[in-house]
Amino acid sequence: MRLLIRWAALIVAVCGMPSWAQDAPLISGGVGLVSTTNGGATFLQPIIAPVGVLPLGDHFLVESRADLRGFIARSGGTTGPYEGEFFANLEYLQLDYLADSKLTLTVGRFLTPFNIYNERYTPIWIRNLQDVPLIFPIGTRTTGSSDGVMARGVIAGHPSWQLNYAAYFSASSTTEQFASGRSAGFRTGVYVPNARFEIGISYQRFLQNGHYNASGAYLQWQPWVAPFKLRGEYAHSPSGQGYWLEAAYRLAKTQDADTWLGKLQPVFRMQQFFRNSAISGDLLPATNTQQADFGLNYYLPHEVRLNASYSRQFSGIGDRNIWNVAITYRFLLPLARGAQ
Amino acid sequence: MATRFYSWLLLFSVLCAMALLAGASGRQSNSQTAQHSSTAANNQDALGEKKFRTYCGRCHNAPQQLSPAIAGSVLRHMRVRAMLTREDEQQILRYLAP
Repeated sequence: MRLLIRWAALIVAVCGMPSWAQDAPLISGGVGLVSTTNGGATFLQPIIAPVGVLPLGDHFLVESRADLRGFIARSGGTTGPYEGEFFANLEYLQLDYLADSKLTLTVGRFLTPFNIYNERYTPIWIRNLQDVPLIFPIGTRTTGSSDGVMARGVIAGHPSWQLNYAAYFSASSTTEQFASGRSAGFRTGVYVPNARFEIGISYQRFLQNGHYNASGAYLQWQPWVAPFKLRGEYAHSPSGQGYWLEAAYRLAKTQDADTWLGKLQPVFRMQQFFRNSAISGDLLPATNTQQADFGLNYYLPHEVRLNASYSRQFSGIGDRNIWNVAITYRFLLPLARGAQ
Repeated sequence: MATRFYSWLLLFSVLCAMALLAGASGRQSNSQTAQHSSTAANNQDALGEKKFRTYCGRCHNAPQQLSPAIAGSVLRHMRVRAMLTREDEQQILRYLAP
């Protein structure tokens, strides 16, 4: 609730500011309702994930994202009356200094740059499947967010390729809304714009409750000749290792086709996780697990999207079906007047 | 368990192959599009659109409506998120808010 009050105060304060040319403060993000049936237990999650952006001069930027969600489920899992809980989570609140293309310095709370899912695909209106991958906890302990400093940018650029990087240090924190693990790490990748192909690696040294390394690799490919997207990650830690590979195909010649068929996007993702030694609180599956996810997205007008997906999970502790149905809406609004 | 999983794997491979075949069949019409784009290569809008599809389109579609008052803020935000260069930021900005 305090997080809501802080967000409301920020919006009221910014709305009273004078007009901007093209850099007015904005509020963006996603709103959604997700219904999940996992192993017979059904729960609903109404979600609001607002993003606030406030440019300060030519080189500074304040950005923040929160995740506000309800969790409505039967008290006994599959039996009993429905009960609801409310969760508020501050995912990032950071000050960026954009020195030049090679260097952006960030201080505050930011999304941990390990592989690409955490930074790029966690917004509910972007992700093709509502469930995060099985290996998502690797490299993102403890909360997916880090409190500290980060440097990032394009360290070497060429018309046909770019070498990008992100390096960070995070302090340990148990403060409400700012919980994070003590860690340091980096991610670096090569992006080939002409092929829209990116490949990279990640490394993290977790520096609390026993030091250990996590490493990963990722790829992303979106060919120009078809509205097809291929994404994948591999991650390894002492807890175990695994990968996911996702393919999505928009049934249209271009991404913006308006035909009813062109608004459909079938999605398939395969995942495997191989358990090694159990580490308390690693949030990974308890045993070797394999999962196949089938999804169907339908893009409605006005930034509304329908998602439906079915997953079959094969695990040593029992196979299960996971169903998801969701509706998401993306919003993007100025918080102050633009110049006339 | 493994047999069933590899069945899923086979299905995934088939889906990927279908997608690539569909892409190949669409190549002819896309080559016409590419030819059209090449004639407008000097046009800043065309360059900005290509940059948008190159960098922003990796993760999401273009916003259906964008107020000119916040176009610069959106691009500043994405410069950090998508690690755009200053030049890319300016070209995409000219496309989104000419």
